Amino acid sequence: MARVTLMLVLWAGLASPASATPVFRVPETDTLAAFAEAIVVAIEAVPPRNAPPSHLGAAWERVARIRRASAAAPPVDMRSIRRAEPPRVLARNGLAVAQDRDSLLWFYGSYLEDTIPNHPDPVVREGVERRVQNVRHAKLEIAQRDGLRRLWRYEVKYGPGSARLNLAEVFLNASLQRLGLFAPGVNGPSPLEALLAYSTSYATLDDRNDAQAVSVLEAGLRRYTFSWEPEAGFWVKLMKPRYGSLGVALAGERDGALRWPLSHPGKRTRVGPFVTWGDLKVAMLLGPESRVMVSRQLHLLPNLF
Amino acid sequence: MPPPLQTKDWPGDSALLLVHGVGSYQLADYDSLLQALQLALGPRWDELAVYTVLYDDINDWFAAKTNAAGLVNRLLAYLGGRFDEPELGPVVAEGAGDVIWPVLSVNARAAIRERVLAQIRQMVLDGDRVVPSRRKQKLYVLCHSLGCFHTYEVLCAAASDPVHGLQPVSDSVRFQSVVMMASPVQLIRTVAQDIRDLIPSPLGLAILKPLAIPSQASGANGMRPSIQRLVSLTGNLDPVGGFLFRNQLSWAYMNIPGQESEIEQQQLAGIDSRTTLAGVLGGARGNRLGLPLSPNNPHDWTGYVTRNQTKVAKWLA
Repeated sequence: MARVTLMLVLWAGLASPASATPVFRVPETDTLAAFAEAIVVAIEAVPPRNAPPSHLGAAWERVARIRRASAAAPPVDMRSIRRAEPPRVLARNGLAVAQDRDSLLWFYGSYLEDTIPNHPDPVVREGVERRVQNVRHAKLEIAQRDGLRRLWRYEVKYGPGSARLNLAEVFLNASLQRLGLFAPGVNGPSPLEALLAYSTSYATLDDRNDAQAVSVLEAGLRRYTFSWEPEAGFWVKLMKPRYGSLGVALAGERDGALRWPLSHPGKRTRVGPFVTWGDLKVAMLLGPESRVMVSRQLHLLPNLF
Repeated sequence: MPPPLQTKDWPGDSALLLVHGVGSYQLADYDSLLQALQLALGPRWDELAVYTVLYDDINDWFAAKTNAAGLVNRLLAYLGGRFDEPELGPVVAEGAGDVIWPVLSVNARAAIRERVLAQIRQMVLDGDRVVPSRRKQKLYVLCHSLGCFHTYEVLCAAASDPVHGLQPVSDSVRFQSVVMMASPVQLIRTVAQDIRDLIPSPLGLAILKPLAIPSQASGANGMRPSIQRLVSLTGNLDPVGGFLFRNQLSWAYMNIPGQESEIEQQQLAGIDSRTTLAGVLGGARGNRLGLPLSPNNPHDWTGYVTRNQTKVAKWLA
């Protein structure tokens, strides 16, 4: 039992970085560098007199950081960092540059955007506006890509073909939405879903090799694969199913359908792990009357089991 | 298969997004509304790139996965008590259940929010091709019923979170006007406050904060709104908009500081008493796919546009 619990915790832990690591979002470096230079030109052309020194100082600092990042060789763009760095470093670097970009965009929108269009020199005016627009457009394209990725993740977890929940699971998961591991975040929904079901559809072979139905209480976690490809071929889908689960299975002392699995006086509960891989479920009951059982993910009665 | 994002070539410098309310809307269900808008706007119609967003398939995902929509509606049966009317209360509460249940699922409302945000982003990206200065892009939103709730949540998220790339100061994305027809924002806010303990992540719901025009800090002290003109149009026979047979319900009528309030004095064929109004509202809910589309329904979206052509033209000018 302790081993199963440990496996469950480790598995959930493996799942968490995917949801905790923010999606990387930085426009192409040359666009960003040109934008930083445009801010310099704009500040020199129409000094933002109403900007407090702290805001102006912060803007110069951001410009300097973007210049440094742009001058690095090879260019600090998304692809080169992705190759070189593990996800957390990648996210930290990416977020830092994105924050510099956002901060400069805010500074421009607050202190410069109203005055630049009135500058007499069209080269200054149009050059600054074009470069700011370029970086805004690039930022919006990245935001769109990230947003559609989040939307896709919702579809994988909740859309047609996802695992249906019974009433207990609806309430359990609604409660767990309050916890960070199960709550939607910057990358969309959590890949995890709690599983608590009474399954009547397991089949096994008893000691005389006769097929028997077994009813099992399952408690565990389901994990969705957001890189799941619905159009992929059979083998790819088999290797990378839409979801998988891991947990504890409890069954009554004897095989048979619709038996209550929890122990009562004179009876014993058989316990063991279960895993699902897509719709396929396999469970093993440990102990003297051990069993290997198979089933499919299905709901015989909505809201119940 | 979810509906694809719409992308358009802007004929001019303006774009309009339509956000529907309760019901299984399909693209074709917008036809009568589009015709009414074309009639109201005249030549201005040809200058607009018109986008429609559909999100009911997302409601269907959650309804199918959890089988919980009916359950939530039953849990909310107490809502009838808030409408102190023996004839109208039950009918109105039944309709209000439809608009409350998205607040109970943080994932459902987050997914719908992503869908609407994606369509707004696509609208601005399309605009960038034709009108490269964001300050010169004229963006409009016309929403109805539950669409007003989603629009409010979306615009608050867009203004406050740089992740979406739609902030009014940093990204220069500002809406010329947002017209909310029969908005249940205040109704949902009141009921959500009543059931706050049941709502997962209530802090993520913009309607549970003091209602305000979405905005972003600008400069040292100022705030810049993302909407230049917020209009609320509600008929005085429309309970979703906060009226119960011509009586305004302070707990259900949306009154955001700075909004332009337009209350239509509705005179509709066949509605002369609480009983006949209850019959029309109940009948409208029972029609094909639950769409509130019938000429004498005080909640009908097309009806709102048809009866207020001059005003709609002014708001979308």
